[in-house]
Amino acid sequence: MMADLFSFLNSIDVGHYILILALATAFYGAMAAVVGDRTKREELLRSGEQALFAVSLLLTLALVLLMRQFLTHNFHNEYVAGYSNRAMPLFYTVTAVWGGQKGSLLFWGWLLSLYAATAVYVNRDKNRELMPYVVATLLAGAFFFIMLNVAVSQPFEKLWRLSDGRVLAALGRPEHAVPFAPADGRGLNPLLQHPAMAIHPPVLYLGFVGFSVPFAFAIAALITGRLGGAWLKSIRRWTLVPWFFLGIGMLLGGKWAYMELGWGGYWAWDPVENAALIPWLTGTAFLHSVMIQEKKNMLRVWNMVLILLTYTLCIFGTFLTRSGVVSSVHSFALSNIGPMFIGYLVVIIAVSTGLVLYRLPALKSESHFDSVVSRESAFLINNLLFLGATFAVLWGTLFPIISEAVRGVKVTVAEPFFNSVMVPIGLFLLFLTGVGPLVAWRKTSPRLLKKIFLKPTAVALVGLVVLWFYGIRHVYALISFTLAIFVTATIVSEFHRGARARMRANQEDYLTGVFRLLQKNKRRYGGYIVHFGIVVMFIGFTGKAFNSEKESHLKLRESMEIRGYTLKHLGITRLQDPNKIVWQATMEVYRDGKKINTIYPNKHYYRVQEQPTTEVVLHSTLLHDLYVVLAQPNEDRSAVYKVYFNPLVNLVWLSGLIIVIGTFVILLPDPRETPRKRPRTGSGASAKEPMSEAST
Amino acid sequence: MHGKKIRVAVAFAVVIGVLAWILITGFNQNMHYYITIDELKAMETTALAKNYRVKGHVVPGSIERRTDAAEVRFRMVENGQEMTVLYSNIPPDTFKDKAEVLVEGRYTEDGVFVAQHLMAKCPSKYESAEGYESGPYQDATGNGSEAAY
Repeated sequence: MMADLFSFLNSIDVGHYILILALATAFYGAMAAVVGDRTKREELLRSGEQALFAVSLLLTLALVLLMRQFLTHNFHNEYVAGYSNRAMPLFYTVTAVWGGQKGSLLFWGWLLSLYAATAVYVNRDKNRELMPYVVATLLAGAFFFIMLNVAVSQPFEKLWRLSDGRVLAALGRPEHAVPFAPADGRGLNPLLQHPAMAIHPPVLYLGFVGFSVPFAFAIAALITGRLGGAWLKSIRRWTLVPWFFLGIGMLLGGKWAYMELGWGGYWAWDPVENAALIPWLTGTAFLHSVMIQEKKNMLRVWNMVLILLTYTLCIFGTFLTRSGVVSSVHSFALSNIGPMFIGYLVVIIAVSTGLVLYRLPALKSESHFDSVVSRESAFLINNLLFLGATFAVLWGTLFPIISEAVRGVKVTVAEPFFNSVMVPIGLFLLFLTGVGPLVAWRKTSPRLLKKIFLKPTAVALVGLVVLWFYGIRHVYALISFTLAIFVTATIVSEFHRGARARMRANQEDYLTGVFRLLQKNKRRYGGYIVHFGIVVMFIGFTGKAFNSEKESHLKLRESMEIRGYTLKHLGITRLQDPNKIVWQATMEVYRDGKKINTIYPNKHYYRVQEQPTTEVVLHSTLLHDLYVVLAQPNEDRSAVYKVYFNPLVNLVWLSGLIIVIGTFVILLPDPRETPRKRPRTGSGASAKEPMSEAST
Repeated sequence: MHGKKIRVAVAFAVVIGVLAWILITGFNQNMHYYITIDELKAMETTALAKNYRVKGHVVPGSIERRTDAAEVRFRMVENGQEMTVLYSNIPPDTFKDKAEVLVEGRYTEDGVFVAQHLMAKCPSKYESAEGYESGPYQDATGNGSEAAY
């Protein structure tokens, strides 16, 4: 009996024991931090912090072990056998670690522990009152994810052959079973073998996970009642970083969809995409409204709720993507991690709501709004729009479940719903991007309004006329482009005004002035760069209004035409390797009678997975993409092509780059933050900014 | 002071009202009903003018591709009920025999479902659907596909 138990325990992978140890350590650490604070025992508190570092070490170890099993093709491990094979290149073997549910949950937990360790390390000597609860909250989150890996979704499960020949996956050796390892693994789905797809999940997770830190600080502030500016100040960068990763993660996902899925688009309002967009929207709302609290000490309840909500939606988004509750099209059995996620969500919501209600009297602020035309109300309208957008996306995503539960009828809304709602909201937000940062705090006089907006408005109207004569009649496109010009003009005028002020005051030349502006007020001018990125992104989105597509069946040397391009079909070759069969078409691209490119659209058939992949080819310029799909290769060397003409789509990717730059500027250490303490009460702090000069 | 407050409140109310209006109209114009194949077949012809979403699995061997156009014709099955689907576009790469598909479109009088959209099960989900060996392996893990549908 004992021998059996021993052999059973012995057959369990050491990785699993490490996870159990991490689970216990997380539990201990959270308890130690809280008890240490209650009993004022500093050493216990420090021990809780050490436990947090230990958890991140243990999870690192577990992840390294799992990765090693992938690299050594240890197909005895069920997860390794399910998501990799011998033929896969090294790069994709590594990224396959987070290719499925088990590994991605481990990866999630590991990232959380890294974020947590960094946040606690950086803050260890500051915010001593908050830290015990920050540590406890972070460890509670880690506990949940490690729990998933220990109890339901075990990455170290092994394959066993029973005496009757059946193969099953189990943690330890079942009775009379022998270890089993298939000769080769099933491999990662070929569709996922794309560079953007390999880094898209980790980047997205860095976003989802990262909001744990501001959440932990918010909970700590609520528990300790220290609701002043300190917690908000410590999390500024900790909200910007996950916000940034979430956004870039979505862009990478879009890029992957565009390159791999072959339908000519990059965003389809799929529940999995929406899962990332929803917390991004509330996160963006928070990044804006938090400025009102910093300057005017207003909206304190609102900000608190926003950050709690953002984290909740991150967990909810992970749940959506991982549980299959929405993407399934019928009453699917809920996947095994579903109930635990729902449980965790209930706990988060209950604790957050309870704490906010408990601290409500202390959170209420006295200031109110003075005028509709003020920066405060611009921020608030911005927030309303972001929350409206959040609600719309959430509602559209969840409606099938809600309607089935309430009315027993399964109803869905698809892409047109999201477009019809999000386009107007998006355009209004774009408008505010131009207006919000320029109007003054409290109240803006008509005279000042005229002074600020006369030139940008004039430029935008000229732009509108030009666009009209250029032949653009699409209403939304006209609005979008005009607003884009308007916002760009306001941003340029802000830089210009600032640079000129510096030229006069410090005898600097113009370029030095611009550079110094960025350097002296990174948050403000970095923010303008991000805004400009958003403008470019909107221009890219708007290109969709001018897409066209064409399908043709071409025999040898026949050609097709689309938007000034001529594409000539020069035949098809069939190649093969052990992995796949490749149909490769050759096409010449002509413009104005001149040959400008030769392209090779492909279709691959992967043998093991019996799966084709469409290898799209782009003839890409800054202003448009010619997106060529080999739809149907034929034995007689003819082929069916589908060609999309996608204007401006490259601006979407370019905007990502601009946002990266802007975010880096904001994240750089700002001399205004550290050396001397600024008074926290509003107006004095902003006296240096050109805009406020104008308003006084 | 009082007048200002009212003006601010009115401005916000207008924004919220417009948001709600956009949401509701957008919603009502874009609803699609999920129905099953037998429900679809039992429908009155007058009800067929609407778009529906239907789920099922591709009948193995039923996929016919045209060589001169991007068009597929296949049969899909659910609960023993079959119907023929015509999709005049490039199907997604995940579309193959036995794949779980979701089609959106119109059922025509000659018994063919003309799909405007076709989705096949997302790859990262689809992968865990097949075991190394049939049957028992799937039952044992609990997340094999057939058992769950």
